[in-house]
Amino acid sequence: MTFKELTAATMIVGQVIIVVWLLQGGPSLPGVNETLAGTAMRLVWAVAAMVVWNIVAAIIGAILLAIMTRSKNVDEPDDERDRHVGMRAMRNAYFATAIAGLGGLLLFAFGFAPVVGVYAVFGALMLGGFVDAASRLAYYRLG
Amino acid sequence: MPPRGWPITASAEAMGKGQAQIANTIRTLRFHAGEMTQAALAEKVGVTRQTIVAIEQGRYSPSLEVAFRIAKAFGLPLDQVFQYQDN
Repeated sequence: MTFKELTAATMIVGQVIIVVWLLQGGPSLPGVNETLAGTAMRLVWAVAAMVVWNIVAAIIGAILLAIMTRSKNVDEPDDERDRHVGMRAMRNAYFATAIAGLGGLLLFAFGFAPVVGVYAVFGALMLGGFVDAASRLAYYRLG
Repeated sequence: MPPRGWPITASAEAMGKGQAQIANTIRTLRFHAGEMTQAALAEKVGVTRQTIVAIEQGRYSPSLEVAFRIAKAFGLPLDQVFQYQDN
């Protein structure tokens, strides 16, 4: 497994952990309550946790990969294939986010509680990230 | 866009889509070049080793630029490294 594949896999694992964490109630941190603003704050904390996870996991992953491969430079600079894979993955993520975003808008349009809409917006962003990471992994592995 | 009335063949329509039809002899050429490693070739060409692996296995068709650089690394013309398989 290359560093780029590891990064994509790490993102997927992080997203699964965050979603499970939110389903179990999420963080009890400043600003988090059952109001609309409090719910949005819960999701902001979840995004912050996701960012921290990605950074820490990338650092630990790079160290472990360097030990396993006995290489000093595990994260090579991007070349044309990396850019090609990135573009295709981003295109997939764009479609997923756009469709999920539209779904979130429809929830508002059909009169669902705004809190549900906030979760839908968050879900759309998470779905976009998931599709991007899964696409990268698939394109790197399968071509 | 072809001129009006110009016949569009199936292969022209499919260009850039579907399965790659470009074969290559990079593995053999590396062997004959003193068992050049994939990493060494990647270094010469200016791409990652993973890209060389993907090209060798036919999972990725390189740009013309990279294809020419690979051919140059072996000191051969392009068509001795890459072959278009016309099905």
